[in-house]
Amino acid sequence: MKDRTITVSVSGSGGSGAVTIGLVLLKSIANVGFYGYMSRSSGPQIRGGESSVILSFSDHPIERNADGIDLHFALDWRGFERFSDEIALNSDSCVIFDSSHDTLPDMVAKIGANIIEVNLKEQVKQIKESLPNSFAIGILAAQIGLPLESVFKALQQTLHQKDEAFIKDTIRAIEAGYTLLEESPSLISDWQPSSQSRWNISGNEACGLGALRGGIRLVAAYPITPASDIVEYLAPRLEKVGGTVLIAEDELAAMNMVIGGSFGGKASMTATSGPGVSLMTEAMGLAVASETPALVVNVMRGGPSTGIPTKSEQSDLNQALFGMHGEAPHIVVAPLSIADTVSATQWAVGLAEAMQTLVILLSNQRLGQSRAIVDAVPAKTYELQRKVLAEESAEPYERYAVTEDSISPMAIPGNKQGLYTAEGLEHTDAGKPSSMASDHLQQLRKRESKVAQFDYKDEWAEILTSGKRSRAIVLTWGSTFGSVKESVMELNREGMAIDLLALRLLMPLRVDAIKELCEDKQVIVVEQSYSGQFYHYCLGQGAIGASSLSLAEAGPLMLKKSDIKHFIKEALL
Amino acid sequence: MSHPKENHLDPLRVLAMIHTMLEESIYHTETFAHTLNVHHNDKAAKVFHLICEQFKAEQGIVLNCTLKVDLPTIPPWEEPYAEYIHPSSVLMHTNYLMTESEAWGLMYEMIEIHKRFYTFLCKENSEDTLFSVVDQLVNYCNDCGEKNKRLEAKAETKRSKSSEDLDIISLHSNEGGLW
Amino acid sequence: MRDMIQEAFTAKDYLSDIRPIWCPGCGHFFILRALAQAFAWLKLPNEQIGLISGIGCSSRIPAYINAYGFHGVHGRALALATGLKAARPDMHVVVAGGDGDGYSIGGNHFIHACRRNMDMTYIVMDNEVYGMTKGQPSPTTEPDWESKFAPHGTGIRTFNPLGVALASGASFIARGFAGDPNGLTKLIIEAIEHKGFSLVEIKSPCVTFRPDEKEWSKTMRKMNMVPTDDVLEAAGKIHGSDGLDTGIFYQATLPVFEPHSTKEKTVADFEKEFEV
Ligand SMILES: Cc1ncc(C[n+]2csc(CCOP(=O)(O)OP(=O)(O)O)c2C)c(N)n1
Ligand code: SF4
Ligand SMILES: [Mg+2]
Repeated sequence: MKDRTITVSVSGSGGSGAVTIGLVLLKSIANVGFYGYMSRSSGPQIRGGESSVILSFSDHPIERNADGIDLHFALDWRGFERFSDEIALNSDSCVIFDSSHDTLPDMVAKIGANIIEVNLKEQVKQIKESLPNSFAIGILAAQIGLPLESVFKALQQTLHQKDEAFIKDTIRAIEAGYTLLEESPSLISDWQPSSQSRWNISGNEACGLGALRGGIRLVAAYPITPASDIVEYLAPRLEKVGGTVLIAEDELAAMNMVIGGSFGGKASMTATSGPGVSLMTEAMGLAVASETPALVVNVMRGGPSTGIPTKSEQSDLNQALFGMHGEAPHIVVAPLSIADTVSATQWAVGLAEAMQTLVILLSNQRLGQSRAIVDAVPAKTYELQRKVLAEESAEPYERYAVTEDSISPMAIPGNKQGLYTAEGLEHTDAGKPSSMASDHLQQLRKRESKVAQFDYKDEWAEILTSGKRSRAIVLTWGSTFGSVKESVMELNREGMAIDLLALRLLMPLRVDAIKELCEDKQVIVVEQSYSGQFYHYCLGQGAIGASSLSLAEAGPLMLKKSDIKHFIKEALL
Repeated sequence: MSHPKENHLDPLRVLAMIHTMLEESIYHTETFAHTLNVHHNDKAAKVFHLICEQFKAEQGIVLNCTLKVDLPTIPPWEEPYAEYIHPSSVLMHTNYLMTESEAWGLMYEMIEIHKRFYTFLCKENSEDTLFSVVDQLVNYCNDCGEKNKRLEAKAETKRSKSSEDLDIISLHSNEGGLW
Repeated sequence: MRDMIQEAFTAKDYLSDIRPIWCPGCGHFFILRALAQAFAWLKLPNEQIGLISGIGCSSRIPAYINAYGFHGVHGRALALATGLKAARPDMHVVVAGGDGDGYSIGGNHFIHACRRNMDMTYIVMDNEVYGMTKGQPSPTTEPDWESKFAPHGTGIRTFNPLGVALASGASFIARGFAGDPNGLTKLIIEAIEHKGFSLVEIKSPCVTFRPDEKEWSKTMRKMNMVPTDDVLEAAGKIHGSDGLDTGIFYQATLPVFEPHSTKEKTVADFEKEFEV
């Protein structure tokens, strides 16, 4: 709480409404001018399983949950053991629970937190259409110090289609909850409201918006957790801006549909997760070989195989980098936060279009399915467009002609001057299949060089320097950025001098630029994978030296700020 | 869609049909000569090529007689008479290992198809202009027949290669091998 | 005179400069020619044709046609074509490939392309064998056909593409024969003209690995009848046939999947949804 951040968690089983509480509180905090972040977790049941949310609030933008929980509300304790490692209660936590059907479990009692019991069954009896979670909203709002009006407004925004009697009774229940406990510490009384225009957005929605901004016109996908939300966001919207969502029979189809749509001249993408990418891999190579722009969004979950579908990891990095057979130069981009997902996706679409190749965007469950109040993300202009053959072109057309920037104009079907057959076989510059060594080498070079010599501008990374002569630099990527950034900033405030380099462009790796930033500094690589994929990648590419250190932890638990800080401190002893 | 049958003996239509038949024969002998070359059977390819040239000359006769006349477009499915067979249908018996003599055999069958059409026309037709064209075509075929006989007499009849020698990989090798 | 003939569209206008190198005698040659004839008869603008294929001897066909083509990966031609048609409904989309490509590795896409019934034509050059990989049994190969890959035959009953197409919702189902170029051209024309997913399954001898298939010139039959739009009747005909009948087994007007999109909104409208 010292950094003006409070973290509240809610858990419950079987439709008890933990997620609704989270959504209402997040909106309420936005309504009073603050920021917030909500991650969610659920049991394996499709419906009615236990679920939990963890919310962190602050008066400055925040895109991660703090290490510890300040306030926890248990609607019941059933299945709580599933969340006990995520909802990290400690002796400073305040735990409120509904004692009408459960007693306090031993595992919680042992922690020594401040425990408050409420009997919600009795409360519910007094208001006809009320539900226990409405009282919980009131109780939590009072504890946090949220004004009631902000909660009512949030309620209206959340429950717009429910009937009036229900809303009236819910409001009464919230009011009752608000005054139920004598003590309400009002944790946010000294916070400064923001005057920025802000958005309430999830990472997957951010990806969808970025795709729209990038000009995507065809999406083909097969459902998979945790990526389906992207398609669900796009389905009703894309068709209103002239695009289409195709429901593919499987991921093999989805990827080929994307290539077909893109061949037809429309920016195209798919969204999936690890198992889906595995099925798409052959056709991803086709996008590279045939030089057809294509965007594949991988919202990573835990692997291998079906793995941990509902939880997060950064372990598909190797697959994204090296998954294809043959030598298939392509682009791998990763957003650093929910807000960053909007622009990173827009950029990714542009890169695919401009370089006529495959771009993989690596998001993950934590980024994709978390929701945050962020400053509105203005649209960017990257000026990345597909180079197309002019309708009036007079010269004989060679689809894969070697040009100065190695990008050859693409003929869009309908253009009389550009009839050609796109090829997945190795081919000549004219597109004729060929297995000649010279043709192979020419086209390998062409495909490699267009990607290697492209100007990625400043977008390739976020670089934070300590402002002093730094002794160390932390390298990271993707969703771990939030925790790493806070850790580094705190350490710098404590007097250390550490730089931070967070890569948005993972392939091609900007080896020289990274080397320069890392020179004479202790390099520490932080990531969420068991085997240290990112570390080994940077090492293998020669971007970092052999004395670099690796902090790599498997998912699904988020890397703790305290662990990162501890690791850095130890490294610099 | 209905495709009504029209009177086949309208001279222009008949000429268009002959033209179409020859067009098919030319395309296929040319294409097969090429693929026989690619499959290293130059002897058979040469026969196909030679006959293709004769077909082109045959077509030249038709075109000469129809100068300045617009030939109607014949629907590609329409056949000139009931027993007609498409000249390309004999080519299914082409084989990359075929001998020169076998190649001649197939070419004769194609020529026969042309001749049968001409004979049919001689019987059914009463139009003078058409008659004269068909006459020229038949004469041309007969002339060629003499020449072809002499060439065929020298043709090789023994297979020089068995299917075991000829690795099919070589067939595709300059276009990317076996996919 | 020549000029006048060229004014009309001819097969030549649709054949590219690249000449096929299929084995001499291969049925695929005749299908290529028939396809070019069909395009010419329909006078399709070359630049409005999208000819999509996978991998196999048959799948080489786009290179030989003067149009927009895509020679993709093995078995996925229908999926790629679906993407193209969705993005570009103005294009005439024709998909071509082999029995291995379409019925085995691409079997799932076959079912769903039939079900989607998008307006495209699927030409299967069925030689009952994997030609390109040197003669292994395919789903349409008889169970007792012996090969190096299956020395005792596969022992598996053959796949019935027309039956599967009917059950899956294709709205035009025909069988043709490479050795009947005129009849085949007509089938292809009608398939392209049909609104919806049209399957033309064409028996095409692989003279190299299935020389026995040359016999088809003697055994294939023409089925001269008006196509039915009755599923039960069509099922009877399809399952009652020994596989040697050619003609249209089924043609019906069924809902065609066409993505509908408008331009009623802008991205800015959607950004507002996020405002707090
Ligand atoms: C994923 C994949 N598996 C296998 C192959 C090898 N392969 C190439 S073509 C082919 C079969 C072709 O048979 P078919 O589709 O019937 O065409 P045909 O050659 O008979 O015309 C196979 C198995 C491949 N290219 N890709
Ligand atoms: S192997 Fe068979 S299918 Fe392939 S080109 Fe030769 S004859 Fe045709
Ligand atoms: Mg086959």
